[in-house]
Amino acid sequence: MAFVKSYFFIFLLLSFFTGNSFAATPETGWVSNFNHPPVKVNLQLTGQTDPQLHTVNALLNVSLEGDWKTYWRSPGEGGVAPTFEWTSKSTNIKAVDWSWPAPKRYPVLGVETVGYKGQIHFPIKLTLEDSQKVSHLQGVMTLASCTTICVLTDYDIDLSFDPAFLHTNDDVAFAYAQAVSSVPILVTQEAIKEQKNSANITGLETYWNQLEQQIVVQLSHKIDWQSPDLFIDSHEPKLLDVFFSKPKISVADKKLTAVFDVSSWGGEVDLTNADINITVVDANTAVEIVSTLGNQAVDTSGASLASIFLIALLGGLILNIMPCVLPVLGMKLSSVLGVDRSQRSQIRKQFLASSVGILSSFWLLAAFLGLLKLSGEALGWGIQFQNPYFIAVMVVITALFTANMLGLFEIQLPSSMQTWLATKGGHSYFGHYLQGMFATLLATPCSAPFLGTAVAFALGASMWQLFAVFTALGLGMALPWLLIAIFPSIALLLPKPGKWMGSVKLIFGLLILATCLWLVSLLDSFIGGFYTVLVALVILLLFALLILKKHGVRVLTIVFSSLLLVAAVIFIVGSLTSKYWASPLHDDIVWQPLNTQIIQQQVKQGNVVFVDVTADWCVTCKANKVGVILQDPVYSALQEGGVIAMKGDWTVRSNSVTAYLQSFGRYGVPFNIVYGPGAPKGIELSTILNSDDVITALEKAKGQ
Amino acid sequence: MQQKKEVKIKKTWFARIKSLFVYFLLFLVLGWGVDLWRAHSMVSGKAPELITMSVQNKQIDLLAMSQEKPVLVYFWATWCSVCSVVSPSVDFVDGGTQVITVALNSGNNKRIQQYLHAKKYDFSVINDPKGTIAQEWGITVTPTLFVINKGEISAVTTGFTSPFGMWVRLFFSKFS
Repeated sequence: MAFVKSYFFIFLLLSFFTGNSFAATPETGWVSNFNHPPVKVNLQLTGQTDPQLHTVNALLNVSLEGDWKTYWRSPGEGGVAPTFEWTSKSTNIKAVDWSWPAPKRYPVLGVETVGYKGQIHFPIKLTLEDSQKVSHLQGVMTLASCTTICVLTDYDIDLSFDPAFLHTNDDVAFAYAQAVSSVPILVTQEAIKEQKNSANITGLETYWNQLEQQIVVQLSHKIDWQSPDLFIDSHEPKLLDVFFSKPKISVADKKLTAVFDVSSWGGEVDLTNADINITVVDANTAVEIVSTLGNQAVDTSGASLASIFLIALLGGLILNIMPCVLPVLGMKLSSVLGVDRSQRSQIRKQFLASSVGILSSFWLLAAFLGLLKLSGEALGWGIQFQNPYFIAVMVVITALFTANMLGLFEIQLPSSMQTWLATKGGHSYFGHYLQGMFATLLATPCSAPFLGTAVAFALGASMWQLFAVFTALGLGMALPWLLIAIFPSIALLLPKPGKWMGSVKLIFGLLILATCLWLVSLLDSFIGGFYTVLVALVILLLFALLILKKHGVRVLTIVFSSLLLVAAVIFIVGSLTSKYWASPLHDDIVWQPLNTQIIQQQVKQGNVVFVDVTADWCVTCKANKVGVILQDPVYSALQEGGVIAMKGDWTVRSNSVTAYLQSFGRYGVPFNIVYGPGAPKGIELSTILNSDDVITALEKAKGQ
Repeated sequence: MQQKKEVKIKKTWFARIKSLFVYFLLFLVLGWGVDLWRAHSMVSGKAPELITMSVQNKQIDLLAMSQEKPVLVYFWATWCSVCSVVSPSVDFVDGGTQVITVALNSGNNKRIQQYLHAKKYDFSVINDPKGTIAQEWGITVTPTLFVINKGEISAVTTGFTSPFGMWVRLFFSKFS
C-alpha cells in the first residue's frame, strides 16, 4: 500500500512539472487552518466538462475529525451554513452551485442542529463565462464546526485550470457520482400531483396554520415508511431568519404526518403561500419536494392515540399465540393444573407477578428504544436482530427451552438459590416475575399482526406516547395472565393432568424449536449460507440424539415426522398462497450481468433487453427498485419470455460499467435503458423511473 | 467482631473521599490544561483596548470599566449552539458583575437585537460582524470568556462554563 502511495505521489510530482497537458485533474489538496487542525477541506475537479452548458464538475471534500460537526445549508437556529465567497478574486467563473447531501440531526448539549459528521462530499458545479479560457477559482470558504465549542474557520481556496485540457479522473468522477447520489432528488409538487417521476411519493398536502404558527406536511409513500425525518427550509430571502423545529412525526403505514413549529426572533411569522422545500430522508428515500404552502387545513387526526392504544393492546394479545410465546403460557398453565381450589389466591398472585414482569420488561424495551431515539439511531421492533451476538444468545436460549419442553432436562436451580426460595416460603413471587420477563424476551423475535403498526407509530411519536404504546403492548400480552389472576377458576377448568399433557408439551417444544431454527436462519447474513445450514443441522442432530437417549426411537420418529409434516404443510400452503402475502420486494428477476455484446445478440434474436445500472450506495436506485422495478406491472413484464433483465453493478468502480455509462455521456447511476428490435440503439429512461414510461419503452422496443 | 466491621467501614469511606478528591484534582488539572492549550493563540497580559458603541447604543470603554471592578468579557455567536447553553448563565451573572459581550459574525445590529429580545437576554452586546475584534483578541473559538481586571487579563476559558465557574474566576481575579 505504501508503495502505491509513494508511486502516486511521484506521479503527482511528475505531472506537476510536466505542465497542464499531462496534468492530473486539478485539486487544491487538503487545506487546513493552523488554528483548527480537526477540519480539512479539499476541492477536486473531476475533469468532466459540459461545453454546451459551460460547466465543470467539482467535488468538495470536508473531513471532520472525531465528534466535530458542521452544518447543513439551513442549519436552524443554532447554526450557520458553510459559505464560499469567490466573486471578488476569481476569473472566468460565472456561478458556483453547491449541492447538499441529505443531512442528519445532531443534538449538541441538548440543542438540536442539522448537519454532518465525519467525511462529507459536496458535489459542486462551476459555470464558466467561456469554456475555452483558462479559469481561476479563488476565494474564502468559511466553515463553522462545533463540538462542545464552536469554531468559525476560513479556508483559502485557489484553483487554476484550463477547461480545454481537462481529462476525466475516474476515481474523482466515481466519488462525485457517489456524492450526487447522496443528494436528495428534487421533485416538484406538480410531479406528485401527476404521479410522474415523483420518486415514490404518491401524495402531498401542506398547510400553514397562522394561529398556531405551525406547518403541517402530510406525505404518502408507495411503500411503508421506516423511520423518516423531515427538514423544511426556504429560498425566500424574507424567510432567512425563520426557523423550523424538529417535526412531530406520526406514521400510519404509508402515510406520514409531520408538524413543524415555526419561530423567528422577530416575533410572529406569516408564511401564507410561501415557497418551501421539504427534504424527506428515510431508509430508501432521499427526496426534496418543492412546494407552495397550502391554506386548507389538513386532517392530522390520522391514527389517534386511542386507536393506536387499542391496536397495541390487540397486537400484544396476539403475541401470546405466536410460536415463541405460546409455550411459555402453556407451561405456566400446566403448572397450575395440580393445584387444588384452596390455593386460588396463590395462583392469583403468581399470575399477577408474571404480568408485572411482562409489563416492566416492556417498559425496559421502551426506555431502551427511547434512548436510541435520542441518540438518533435507526429504530424498529426487533432491531436487536441486526446484532449477531444477540441472535446467537437467543438461539441458545430457545434451544435450551426446547430441550426443557421435550423433557430432556429439568432446570435445576443452584442449591443456595433453592434454599433462598425456601426461606421465602410460598410468598416469593420473584420467580414468577422473572417468568414474565422471560416470556417477553422470547416474544422479541416474533412479530404479530397489529404489532408493526403500533411500534411504527410509537417510534415516530413523542416520549410519553412511546411509553403509552409500549404499556398497551405489555398490557395486551399480559391480558391472558391477568384474566387468570382475576378468575383463577379458568385454570381449573382445564382437564385433569394426564397423558395429554405430554403431547401438548411436545407440540410446544416443536413450536419453540421452529423459532430457534428461524433465529438460526437470521444468522445467514452474518456467517453465510453454509455455516447457517451447518448450525441448523447440528442443532437438529443434537436434539435427535438427546431424544433418542431419553425417550427412545418411537418418540424420536414421532417428533421428526411431525416436524417434517409441519414443515411440509407450511411450505405447501406458503407456496400456494404466496401471491397473497409474499412481499412484492422479493427479487425473483433473473438479472444477467451487463454485457454489450449479448445485448446486440439478443436484440438480433428479437428479444427485449432491460438494462439497470445501479449501486448499493445509490438511494435513487433503491427507490426505483422498490417503487417501480419490483412492483407490477413492471415486475411481471420483466419476467415475461422474450425480455432479458440485465444489471450493471457500480457499487465498486468497474471499468466496463464506467465505459458503458460514458458511451451515453453519463457518469452516474441510476441509469436505465431498454433495447429491442424496435429500438436497437436503446431508449434511455429518466433517472427517476415511472412504471408507465418503462412499460411504454418496453412495448416500443418490442416494435409494437 | 463488631468493632472490626466499624473500622472497615470508616476506612472505605475515607478511601472513597480520597479517590473522589484525586479525581477532582485530575479533572481540575485536565480542564486547566485544555484551557491553556486552547488559549495558546489568545492574547495574554494586557487586554486590548475596546472603546465602542454597544448594540444597545451605549458607549463602552472596557479598560476604564475594569479599573474599579473586574469585567467579564464573553465572546459568542448566534450560530454557536454551545453558546445558547452558556448565554443564560452570563445573563444570570450580569447585573451582579460587569459584563460585556461580543457577538461574532452574527449579522447586523437589528438581527442581534431581535435575537436578544427573543431570548430575553439583557447583557450589553458589541457587534463584531466581520470578526475583527475577535481577531485582535486572537479568538477562533466560541464561547470564550475573559476576566479583565485593571486592564489585565486575569482568566480565560472556552467551552461550557457554569455560573459557579464564572463566579470563581471573577472572585480570584481580585487577588491576582
